[in-house]
Amino acid sequence: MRRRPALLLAVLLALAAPAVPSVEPALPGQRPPAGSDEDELWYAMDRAEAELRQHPGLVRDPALNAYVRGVACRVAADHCGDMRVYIVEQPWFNASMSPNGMMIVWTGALLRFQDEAELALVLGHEFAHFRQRHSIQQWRRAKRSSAFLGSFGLLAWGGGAGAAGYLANIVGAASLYQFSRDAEREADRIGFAVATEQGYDAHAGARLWQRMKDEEDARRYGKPVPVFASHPRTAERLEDVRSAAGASGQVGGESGREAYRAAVRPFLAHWLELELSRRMYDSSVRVITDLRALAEPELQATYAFYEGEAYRRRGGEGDLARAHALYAEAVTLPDPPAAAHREHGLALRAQGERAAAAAALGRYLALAPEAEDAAFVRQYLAELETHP
Amino acid sequence: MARNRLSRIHLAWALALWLPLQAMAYDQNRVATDDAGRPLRIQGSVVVVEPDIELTEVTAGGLQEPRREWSEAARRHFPAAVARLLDEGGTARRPDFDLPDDLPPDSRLGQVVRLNEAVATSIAVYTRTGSYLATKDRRLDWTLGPGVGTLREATGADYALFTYIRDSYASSGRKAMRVLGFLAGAAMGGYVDIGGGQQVGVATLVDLRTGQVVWFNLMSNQSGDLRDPEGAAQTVDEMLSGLPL
Repeated sequence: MRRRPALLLAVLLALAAPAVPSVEPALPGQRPPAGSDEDELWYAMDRAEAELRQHPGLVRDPALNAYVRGVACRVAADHCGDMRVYIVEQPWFNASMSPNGMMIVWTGALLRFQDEAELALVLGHEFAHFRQRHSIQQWRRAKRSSAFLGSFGLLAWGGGAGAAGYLANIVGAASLYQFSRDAEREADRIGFAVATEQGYDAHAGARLWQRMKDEEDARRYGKPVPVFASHPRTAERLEDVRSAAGASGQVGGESGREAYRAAVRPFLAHWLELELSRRMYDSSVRVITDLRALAEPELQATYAFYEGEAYRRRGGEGDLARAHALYAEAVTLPDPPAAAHREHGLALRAQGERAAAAAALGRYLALAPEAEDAAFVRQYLAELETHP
Repeated sequence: MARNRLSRIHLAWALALWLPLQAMAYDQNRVATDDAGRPLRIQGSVVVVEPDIELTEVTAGGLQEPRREWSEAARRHFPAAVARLLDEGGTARRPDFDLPDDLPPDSRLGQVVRLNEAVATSIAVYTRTGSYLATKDRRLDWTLGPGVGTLREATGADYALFTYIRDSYASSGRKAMRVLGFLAGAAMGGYVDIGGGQQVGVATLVDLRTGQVVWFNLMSNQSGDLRDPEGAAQTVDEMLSGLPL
């Protein structure tokens, strides 16, 4: 019973991208009709949102939440009332939007933004997913493709062309990612438009994506595979946002840097600690040096210390010396974190400079008498003082 | 704080990983034993904690589409059927306990429910052939700890029954696809079942005086229907028949 797999393959692949009727953008206050597939998606996301509200990873600080929500509302304009903004403690750069209006920003993104215009651009992008109803489009497409691929796979297998079914699955999955990238591009365009309409600096995106690209380039492993990437390549986004900024002809847009820095300052040390917990020190070094280059004088010591920590923990050739130099620098700057004195003291102790080491460790204990490691440090200090 | 990953392993994930490998119907009924090795029996009243139930429809391609109406119906039918079973068995019962939706994250009640989920996941994994823990062997020896006292104060019950159910139903498209699978399989001289809907349930009975998990069950089958009272009664009979009443 010889079939002709090649013909079967050709016929079925011709149908490979089932057309999905496009949907209209949502109007303010719009809810999906009861019983629709979109309504079911909203229901599932409402349940997920209820769970998120109880999650320990949620950042609940009222001032920070009010600030981020304010920026989201400014770009979402009339749709503000349809969205809830959540800040989630996760050290990666990410933000997401659910069809029901649940917007999520990760602290890793807030650490990386330099000003309000960059935040506004990203929130504008997420809002665009919501207004354009990308989730439901993607869901419908996934349903059609998976059904199609299921039957194609079975037929091709039944016809003795098992490999063709496998191939079609790959083609089908890649086409879903393609749709996703197209949706992302649309969201990039709309996000840029809504942020600049509000007077935000049109060049913010170029700055942000340049830094993201630098960070990506600094990464030594785990780079995204382009065919299956859900987002366009960073280099491409950078180019798009640059030409959009140029075409806008805007000069003197609002960066909102002061307001942004004031809002995130209380959290920076903690977010930097989380950044290091990713254990991707190559990109952390890049992120921290970028932040430090523009940081206010009173934050220089904090960034210098965490940059030193990134080197120390990476532990490559010459890293320890770099770390020690940064600790030494940090303690001479205004307002260093207590831990900078500890690390500086331990470095001096390792170098045999016992008196200076004792002085630094003493300062650490004076600043952080209740620290978890205070007993250890006291022990070191006692040793240093008995055998100076 | 980095441990507070959103990606904490959910019961759903653990189940999804290995349940497809199970046969059509599966049951993992376990009762805790006393020091002498005798199975424990329930002594006191039972409260049914708001069950965690979601019903979905399996699309032709195998995606799970959530179903609000079905889920809401199941959340009514299931506790009613449990109440009937307990009443018939002559077990004292306290009014069903619904968790408030707006519990603060540090609420002990919410934490007890999430802790039960974590412990139930461990029981599901480590209380079956091939993966018994050396320290526990075949005994059901798990506890949520004395912190469950909060739930006892809130409900007045001596035991809490926690239930978790995920139930899916094949859409007409999925049924057609399944037939296609059988036919394609037959054409190749084999048997192919791509699967339709599936029902998975996990239940624990916890002694609220000590925190001890007195009884555990995990069941999975391809029948069962929680969308109506009769189906719910049938599911409850299967799922809770091993309760040491």
